[in-house]
Amino acid sequence: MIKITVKTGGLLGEHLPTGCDDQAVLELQNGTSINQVLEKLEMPVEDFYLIILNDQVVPVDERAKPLLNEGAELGIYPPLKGG
Amino acid sequence: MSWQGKILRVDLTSGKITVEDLNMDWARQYVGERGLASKYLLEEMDPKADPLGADNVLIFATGPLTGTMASTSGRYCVVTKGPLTGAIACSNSGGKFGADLKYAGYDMVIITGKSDRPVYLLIEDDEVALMPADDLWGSTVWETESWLKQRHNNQMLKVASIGLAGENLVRYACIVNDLHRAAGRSGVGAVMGSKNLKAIAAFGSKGVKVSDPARFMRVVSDSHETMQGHRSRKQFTKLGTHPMLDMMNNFGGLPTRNFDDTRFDGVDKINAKASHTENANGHTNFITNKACFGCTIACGRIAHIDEKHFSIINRKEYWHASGGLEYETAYAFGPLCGIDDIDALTFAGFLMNEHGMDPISFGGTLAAAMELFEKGIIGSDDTDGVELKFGNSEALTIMAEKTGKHEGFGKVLGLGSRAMCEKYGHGEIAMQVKGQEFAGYDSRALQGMGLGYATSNRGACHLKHDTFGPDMEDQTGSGKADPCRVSQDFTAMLDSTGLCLFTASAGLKEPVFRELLNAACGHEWSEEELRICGERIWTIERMFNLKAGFTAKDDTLPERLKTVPAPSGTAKGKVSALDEMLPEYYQLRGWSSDGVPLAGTLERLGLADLTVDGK
Amino acid sequence: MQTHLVIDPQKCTGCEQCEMACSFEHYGIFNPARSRIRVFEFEHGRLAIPCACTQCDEAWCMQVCPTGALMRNAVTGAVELTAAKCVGCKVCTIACPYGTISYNPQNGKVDKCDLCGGDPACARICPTGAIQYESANTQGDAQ
Repeated sequence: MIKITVKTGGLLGEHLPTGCDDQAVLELQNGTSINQVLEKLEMPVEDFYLIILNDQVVPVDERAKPLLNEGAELGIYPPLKGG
Repeated sequence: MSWQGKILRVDLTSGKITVEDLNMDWARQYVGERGLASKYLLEEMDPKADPLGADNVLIFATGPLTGTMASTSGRYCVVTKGPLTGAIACSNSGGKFGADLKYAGYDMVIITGKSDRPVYLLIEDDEVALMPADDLWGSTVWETESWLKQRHNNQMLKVASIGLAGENLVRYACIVNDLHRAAGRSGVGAVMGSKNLKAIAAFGSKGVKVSDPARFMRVVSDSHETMQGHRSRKQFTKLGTHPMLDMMNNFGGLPTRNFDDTRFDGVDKINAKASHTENANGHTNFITNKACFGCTIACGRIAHIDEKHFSIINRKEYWHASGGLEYETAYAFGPLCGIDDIDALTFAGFLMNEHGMDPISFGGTLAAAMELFEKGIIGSDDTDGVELKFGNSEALTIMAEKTGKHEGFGKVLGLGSRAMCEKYGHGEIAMQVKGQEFAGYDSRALQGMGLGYATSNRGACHLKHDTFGPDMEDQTGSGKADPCRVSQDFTAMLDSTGLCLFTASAGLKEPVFRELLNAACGHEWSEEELRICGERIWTIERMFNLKAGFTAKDDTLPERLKTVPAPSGTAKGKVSALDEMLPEYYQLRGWSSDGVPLAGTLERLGLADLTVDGK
Repeated sequence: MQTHLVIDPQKCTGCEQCEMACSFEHYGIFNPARSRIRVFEFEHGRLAIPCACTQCDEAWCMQVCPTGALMRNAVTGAVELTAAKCVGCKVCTIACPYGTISYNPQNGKVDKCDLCGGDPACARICPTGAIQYESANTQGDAQ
């Protein structure tokens, strides 16, 4: 098992285990992919999230790979723009 | 048709007011609002004119969808030559004023000349008059709006006015309507001030009709439903644009301490969560969300400041609710100045609205002044004894007020970052394009954004293109030029309809806008024709700037973004790839390598008679 | 069944879609000045309150009308205007304690909420549910 920190923003916070927050620690099986995390958190699996893993942007085609390791920081952000 | 077909023309020099027919050929070529106003501006003024002189022309324009049931139909824009930049300015605002201007029966108000005494323009349907404003001169935006409603005994009167900043020609003074909505950027408020025009007050009872009501209401109903179900719409409603802070911070694209860093460690204290959470005194910053006219999104924030906060503890006049923080204001006062005090940010935001200033440019200028101070280029004898250090929240509130009231060092801050830094011999510290300060996205992390900043016709701006998608997928300069160009043209079209750009973020796509326009206007634009309208608008704005004396050299970014690598985040080690993107962009646009539209390009757009040197 | 508009100012964002829907329903034009429902805002937009006719049980507008132009619709409970009988005397606008009837200079009659005959356009369009159309009996404390 590994522990990772998920950070998010906006309405996606409602999908975190605490119900509504901007970050949470998740315990996962070794070899879990980012798409499996999205699934576990019941976030719709869609292309347009901005996914940041340990300060690197993760492109869509990498998200099914087992990239997560112990202590990873995973940022999941909804499509946002404007101001 | 949903154009009113009338233009109100006001010459402040002679006091003459006339009404004329809208040029309908131009309406079909330039749609309305931003596009049509830019066309009139180019036709009617010398682009080389002094932006603060009597020869500048000031246009308030609505679009064909302004005042209709299409969601977000409260928009109007102000087009003029901007004093912050010397380039064409197009500042777009929501609130309710634009709808009433249209309901009074006018698509546009074209203001020329200069009054020899303070005046305001009163528009009540066909009754239009210039009224003396000697007693209003020196009053704030909030006082002006309240007094005009009382004076004319009409609470339905909508007011767009300038505060002390506009009167005193602060180069980024804005025009504020409905207390806290603003035509914010490029200093359009200073143009009003230079003309001695304090306010425009409008009330309209004529309404707006569309050409095919049944068809129009079908698409209104469908588009309302699309937006209602869209996730981004829900997020805008609940949290506004505020969540961008967390996202940009984690991404590492959040300009911090005048672009010294791309991440800010105080974000948790000023983000959306902080705004919605009770503080130690039991006070919560956020109160409710608020819509502009006709808007089914309602991204606006209404907030209040903790009464125990140092900024207002003895100032009961600020113990009320008003417009709260959105992303750009939070960024410009927060990370950019290194400040993590949400009440100070909110108070400075109130002051921007009350005195009529653009928070992005004020924040950018203050951040530059802080860098000058920290580097010892200026000292506390320059800054009225204020320790102008990054992170000093008291310095923010003091300087916001001094700039608004044009006192002490506030007069220097009122010049904008470029003129201020040049005054002290350090132009390189000003983070700006064409004199206008940056929005909250670092060009080293968002490459397409950098190209958009460099090529925007009104100076650094995040609202004239949209490359967020490509920028987050890939952080190199490749593949950015085309999305930048395409989205610039699309945005120019959408800005010309009378609707808000956020409709496109909240689920609406090109066919919906086209169907709304076609049903409302009684003119059938094809997809290609409407795309060409956008490109044509972009191109005449460019031609205005070229005629004003701008060249390809001005399509650039500060050296810091091109040479100093981003210190942290996903773009760590990267610089802006502008020099690689720009030639590709010119080529895709059909411009010469000097950034001048080629004859064939102008001809394709129906602009063959335009040249840089001649009329 | 008597019905009326139930208004919750806490949900109102002040967008005025209701005003445009009302004028469009009755006159085919988007024109808040001709709307029978009006949204008023207070304290820099902290509160927005849509105000519309409450269809009073004891409708003074109806009682003072000298021509019998205002009559109650037995199905919806709305006090409705029979335009052909209205002479534009404006007495009803004086009698209404809430100011929700107004004189329309464009047609010389008064504008009065008629609940759109039982399917009010304002309630239909309201994006936040601030305006709802409900049975009067289930809402004793209608706002």
